[in-house]
Amino acid sequence: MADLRIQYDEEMVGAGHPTKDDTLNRLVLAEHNQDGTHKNALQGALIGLRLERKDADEVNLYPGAVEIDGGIYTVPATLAKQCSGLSADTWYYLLASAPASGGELAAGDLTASASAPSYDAARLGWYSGSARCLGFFLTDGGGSILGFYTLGNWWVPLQPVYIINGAPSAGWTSVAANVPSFGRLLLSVSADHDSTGTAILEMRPGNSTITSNPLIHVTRGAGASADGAALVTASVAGYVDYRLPNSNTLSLSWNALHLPRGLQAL
Amino acid sequence: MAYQHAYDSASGELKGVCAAFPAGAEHSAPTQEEAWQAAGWTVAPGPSTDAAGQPVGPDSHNYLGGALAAKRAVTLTPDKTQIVADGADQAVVAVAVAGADPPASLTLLVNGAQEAVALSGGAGALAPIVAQTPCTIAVSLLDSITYRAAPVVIQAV
Repeated sequence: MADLRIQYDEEMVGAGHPTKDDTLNRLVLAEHNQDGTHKNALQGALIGLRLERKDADEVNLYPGAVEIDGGIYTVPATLAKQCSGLSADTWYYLLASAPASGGELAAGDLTASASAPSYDAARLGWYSGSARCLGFFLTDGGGSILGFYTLGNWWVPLQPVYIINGAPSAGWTSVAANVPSFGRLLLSVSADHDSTGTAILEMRPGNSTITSNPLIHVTRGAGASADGAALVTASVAGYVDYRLPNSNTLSLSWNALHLPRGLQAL
Repeated sequence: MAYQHAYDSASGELKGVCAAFPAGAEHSAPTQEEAWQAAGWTVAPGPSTDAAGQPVGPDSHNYLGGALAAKRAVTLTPDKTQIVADGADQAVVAVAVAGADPPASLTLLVNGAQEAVALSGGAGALAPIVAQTPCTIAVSLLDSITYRAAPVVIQAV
């Protein structure tokens, strides 16, 4: 480990000398930016900042801290964010922009956007430009925010999010999983179906060619109904595959979504 | 997130609701929309909930007349759910159709057999149900596209 302290036999030189190295600031610059803020020792950090529905057009952002583009910003008390003009049946992403000054986020620094952010491998978070995504929510057919809460690193809707409700396909079929755009996602899926014979519900990750070792097995005889659950991976494009022969109706939904990297809070 | 509805344009039966498949996404199997179209059904965009805020699904909605509509609610209320299988003990199932302009009659299925129920002001009752031997008697709607009702089961012991 290098000793960056000015030694007794060194000349103390400040920043900007035309020919000599800066020895005065050498030690502090190892872990600080020139404006005095800490370097990215907590790059990508997301601490607390649990997001929950407050009412039809508001969400609550609970206390915590987040690193945004090299700066650490805190939320010392629960922030209520009003989200007006929401569209129906839409995933919204709550974005936080670094405030012009100070180290605290305010409601005015938050934006609910229907445009999905992208994962930035350098900044270790989901970003839309310079704004970092802190969470997400879904609206119903009337544009109201659906109830949800965050339990550890699971996003849990208060009512199941439907994938399909109706006549199933006997052969492998790809169906949209109705998930936000965060790449490959792990879902807790539940299914309920009737049977006209032996009905086996099988699932596999979307865009897969797996033909054996399916992820769900729910088997019943004719005239019966059945339900089951499993963890299923939705593809990067947000869909899953299933097949269910000998059945007239299938209700397939997910009731929990594992938060992707960059949204998992400490 | 857009939704797709699949319905039988001949009967007006809503066959299914699913989220719209991501445009342009590669897939290794037919999409749900393609599967429903291959079955001969009309697939068109539709909402996840109706104007009353109720989730849309085959159990609760139809496409009679080519437009999305909620099924008419029917309530089946038995005065008892268990009878003695002696040919004398009986259960009576009351029938009530909600909403304005109820039909003059409604046909039910009693263990698969059709039975018409005369309605007055939307209310009526099935003929008393009796059983000679222990069995399970299921009462349901004949027309489950126009109407919806929770089925009734009476045990004869």
